[in-house]
Amino acid sequence: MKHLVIDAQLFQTPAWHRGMGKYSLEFIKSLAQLNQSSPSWADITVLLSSNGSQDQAILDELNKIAGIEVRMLDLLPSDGSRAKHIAAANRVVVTDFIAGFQGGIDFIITSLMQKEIYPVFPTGDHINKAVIFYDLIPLTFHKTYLQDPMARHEYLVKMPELLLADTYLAISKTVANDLTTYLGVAPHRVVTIDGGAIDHDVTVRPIPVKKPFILMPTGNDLRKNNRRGIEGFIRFNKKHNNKYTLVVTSFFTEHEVAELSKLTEHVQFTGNLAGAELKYLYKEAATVLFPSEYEGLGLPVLEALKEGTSVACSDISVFREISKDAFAFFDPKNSGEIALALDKAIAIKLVEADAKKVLAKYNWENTAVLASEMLSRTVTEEPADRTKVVVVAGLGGVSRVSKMIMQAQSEFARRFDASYYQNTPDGIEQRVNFLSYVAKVDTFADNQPILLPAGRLPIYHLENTAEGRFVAFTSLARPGVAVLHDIEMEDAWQAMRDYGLVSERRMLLERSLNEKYESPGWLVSLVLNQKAIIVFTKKAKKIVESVARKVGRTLPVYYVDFPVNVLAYVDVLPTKDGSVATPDQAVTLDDMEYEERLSRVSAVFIDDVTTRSVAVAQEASKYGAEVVAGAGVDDGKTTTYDQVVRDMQKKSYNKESDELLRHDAKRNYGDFAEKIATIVKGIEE
Amino acid sequence: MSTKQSNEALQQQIARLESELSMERAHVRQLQNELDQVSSLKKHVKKFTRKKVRHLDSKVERTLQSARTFQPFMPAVDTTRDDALDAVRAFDSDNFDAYNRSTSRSGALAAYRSLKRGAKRLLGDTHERKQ
Repeated sequence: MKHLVIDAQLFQTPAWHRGMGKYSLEFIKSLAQLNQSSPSWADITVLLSSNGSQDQAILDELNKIAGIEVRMLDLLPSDGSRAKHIAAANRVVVTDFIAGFQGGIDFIITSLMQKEIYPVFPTGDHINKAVIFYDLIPLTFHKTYLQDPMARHEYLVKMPELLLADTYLAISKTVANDLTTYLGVAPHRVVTIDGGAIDHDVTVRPIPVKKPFILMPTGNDLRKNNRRGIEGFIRFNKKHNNKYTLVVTSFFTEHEVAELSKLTEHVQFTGNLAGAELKYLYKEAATVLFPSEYEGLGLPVLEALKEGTSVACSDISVFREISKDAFAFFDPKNSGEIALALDKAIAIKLVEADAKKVLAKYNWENTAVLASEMLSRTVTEEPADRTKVVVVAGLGGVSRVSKMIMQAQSEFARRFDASYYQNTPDGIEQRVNFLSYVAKVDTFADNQPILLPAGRLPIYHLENTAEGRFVAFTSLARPGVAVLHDIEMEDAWQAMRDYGLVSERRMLLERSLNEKYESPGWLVSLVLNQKAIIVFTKKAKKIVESVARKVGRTLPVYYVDFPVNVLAYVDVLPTKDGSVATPDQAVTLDDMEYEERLSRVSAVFIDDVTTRSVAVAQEASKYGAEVVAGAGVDDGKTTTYDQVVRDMQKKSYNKESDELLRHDAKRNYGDFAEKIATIVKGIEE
Repeated sequence: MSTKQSNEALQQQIARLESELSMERAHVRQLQNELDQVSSLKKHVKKFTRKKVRHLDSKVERTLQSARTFQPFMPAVDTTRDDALDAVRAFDSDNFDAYNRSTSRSGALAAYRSLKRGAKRLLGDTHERKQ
């Protein structure tokens, strides 16, 4: 029988008092209980750090749980500047600790990303490395949370550990989708374990609040959307002669309280409350208001349902996931809608059957069963001798290609020992470039030597951009596997000449070679010397093969599907809005806005076969959007963007999510990495 | 003490507290003004220093880069020959090696950039650079 080890250092951080800490405690309790009635593990050990907070309350709570043993290990706290050293030291400690167990081990980290701690996975065979995954909020809202370089470093430095996990226990389908969407984790490694309402206390203790009141259980975080929540309440309250009070719980600074209190006198801040007091507020509230713009799970709405109180909440993915019927939804950006939803929530009251349905699914027993089932499956061990490759590409993090490369790393690292060579980008950040935190990245620079690491097969990502000049230049001299993202490469050639990498004579020579072999797009030298070519469209394959034939060379050309961040769950998607997107419109957006937009469009119109267009088409189709191609993709077609817009307007595009299963699991990053591995193996043999 | 007297005492106390509060507020305003002035000066100095550093950096980079000697080359190749492609590839490889040799020689530039990276790391903005 296996052993279960749970790193619970999270409890020794301020998160102990917040949702994450409460969630983890309930999670451990429910697993221990399940193991007593239906044993999956010989024993359960909960790890704490002897260097962290020694709050007796934590130990008291843990000691109440039957069937677990608490162990203090000499685990070092986090320190951004010595991250590698701390990770290595902690890894030795946990590896030594589990060496005492015979047989397989399920090792769960309750939270990786808390800045005060540095939990790590042990090394060794037969270990299923699992992590409870709450959200990617700092990464997806990076302009809010990761502007400060220190905060960014403290967060990103944990990314390698996060990608080491074999199993992700996601607290909702929404965050499971975020994992696959933004980190490229293969869906089969992710399971949603949900959660349940937290019973804060068995007793109820009244606190002095003016009745009737609306409860807003929140926090002092921008995404909680408190200001707009209060504005919505003001509009609602005006209609009711200001008879309601808005009771806002959780900690706020004096300044924040003063600022928000300026909006209305009918608001009362309670600060942090004891469980019994919170229970009183949930029971007595006319309704619960939850205007957050993003939540990983949103325990307060479950708590409200448990106490029989109706909820007015944001129309965001995670709440739709919990129930489409039990809440009064509103657009969190619209205070008018918030006011209307409050009226609705108070008028209709809570339908008991809806609440029962939700709570039957969202409870800790179910969470324990789901986690236990996921942990019982066999984990594919990583091959010991992974092929060494160096991935050579253009702008790190900024371009579509770099985004794909970064998101592929999670699956790539399971098959290859990959290092990277990229340009250092400047300009606006559409996403956080975490690649340098999870792999070795060398950078190109003008007038600097290009020193590809020895003994690594180069994988070139050839793009027709000025930034792609170093990649093209290197690929001409050091053959490898070329991933051809464009079938027109003239701009890259011109950039090589303009930046003094190749001579004018070389350009003229290339032109005559291309004329001689009737090659479009300046492809002859770039592709014909490579060991293999990978393309993402059939059109590109046809062109490259035709050039190779004319030259009389045998060149392995592989057509593979452009990898997309396939969703773990498609049933939580929003409805389609009938609009049509083009790659030009979509790629200027931040990643999160981009995904949101693609999840709502009914169609995408593409008119060329560049990676940019192919990527947008594939990523939109994973959300069930129709992909319409113009003459640039298929010579026989005459469709235009305006025509597609008109066609869409005629159709009714309110498809339900279960119809959206057009996405194909074979286009995910795992499958992409596997195909590259097969191609590379063929070359090695 | 009668209710009336106690009310008067309370009102006097409130008046005293209000006057104290308005004095405190004036003090806070004054401090805020001073802080604004300091912040604005700090911003100005920061902006000015950044501009100066950037200017100096590009000057050093330009000076060091001018020492660069790499000139791409490509001998004439008869494209009608059957082995033209192989010949071109051999020359491309030589050109690449020459580029690496030449740029490796600009050691001063490499040393300067390495120094710059070290300084940035010390100043704590390594991660900005990496983006």
